[in-house]
This record gives sequence, structure tokens and C-alpha cells, in this order.
Amino acid sequence: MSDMDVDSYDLWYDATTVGADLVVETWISHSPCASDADFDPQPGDWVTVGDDEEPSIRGRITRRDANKVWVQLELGLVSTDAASQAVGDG
Amino acid sequence: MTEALALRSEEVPSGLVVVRLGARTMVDDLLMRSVEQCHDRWGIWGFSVFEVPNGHYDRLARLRPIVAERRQLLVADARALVEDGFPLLPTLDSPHWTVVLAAATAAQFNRVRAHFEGPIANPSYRAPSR
Repeated sequence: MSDMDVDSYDLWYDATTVGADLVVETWISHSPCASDADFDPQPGDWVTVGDDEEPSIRGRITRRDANKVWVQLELGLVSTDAASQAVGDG
Repeated sequence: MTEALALRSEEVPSGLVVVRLGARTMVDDLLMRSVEQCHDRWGIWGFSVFEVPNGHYDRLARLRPIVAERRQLLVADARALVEDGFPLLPTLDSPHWTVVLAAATAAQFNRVRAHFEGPIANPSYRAPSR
């Protein structure tokens, strides 16, 4: 796999911890936004999650507890596709 | 505060194959993140793996849809992990297990990493449709 396959994302996740309900726990301190004081995701917000290997995945925050953020992934719709749809593509 | 660690009533069967999703997921810095999250949750050093039910990757992908999104996997023999001093705990719902480490150290990471072969191509990978 080339570096071209890796893109930017909001929160890092361990894919082997994703549940059957597609919810995964992420930590802000483990993510690229760790040093961004303005990054303040809240339940209901859409974010992208990535693991530095596969294309990032869009997901919706279901819960937040300080540093911990739980995200429900939207599979089959990588973030670039989601962005296209958000601007009315298609 | 840590959560109570609830275990399923299962032992590690012989021939059990477990996987980590991804090719780089066992490198030190990424493994450390996973181990820290496990410790924060349950108070033990460890990381997640998925059982491949009877060797059927498609069945694993049905149980955990994220599996079908991954091109590559790392694979280990569960019994060999246990025999080398890395207990497997049947945590959360099947097919999830936790590989337990004695400590979050580079030496432990090196030893446990040696059990994982690959990356291999994921037999249940489903290329995204455009």
C-alpha cells in the first residue's frame, strides 16, 4: 500500500476494537487534534477517524467523556465520498 | 475508574486463529495506544484481537463488519500465544478476545509481535463500490 492511500482524519482508532454496532472508542490525546485547543467534538457531530493505513471513515459521535470520544462509523462511505455527498455531488 | 472485567465462559480451543486488523497495527507506537486504552478500561495491559470462527473469515466479517473494510491482517495462533505467556481473555462479545501482556514495554511488544504473521491479504475484504 502506498502513502497515497493514507489521508488526514480527526481521531485515531484501533480497528480491532470496533464493535458489532460499529461503535469505537477513540482518545483525543491519541489523535492528530491532540494539540488543537479548539478541537471540541460533541455528541452528534460528524468526524473522520483513521488509523494511518486505510482511508479515513466518517462517523458520528455518540458519547464524549473528557478525552474519550465514542464514534459510530458509517461503513461503505469513506470520508472523501461523504464530502462529495455533502456538497450535493450526484 | 476502570470497568469490571466480564468474561465469557469460553476457553481457548486448540487451532484457534486470531487476527489484528491492519499491517502496521503491531508497531510500537500504535500498539502502545491500544494497550493504554485497554489498561484505562480494565486495569490490565492488553490489546484486542478477533477470533476467526472455525477459520471462516466471511463469518468473522458478518460478526464484525469493519473486517470487510480492511485489506490486510496480521494472524496468530492463539494456543501458541498462551503457551508463551500471553493469556487470552474472552472479553466483550464473541469474536472479541484480549491478549494480556505483563507490562507495556518494548520487550513485551517484541515478544508478542513475533507471534503475528503477515500482513496477509484479507480473504473477506470487500472493495468499496464507487
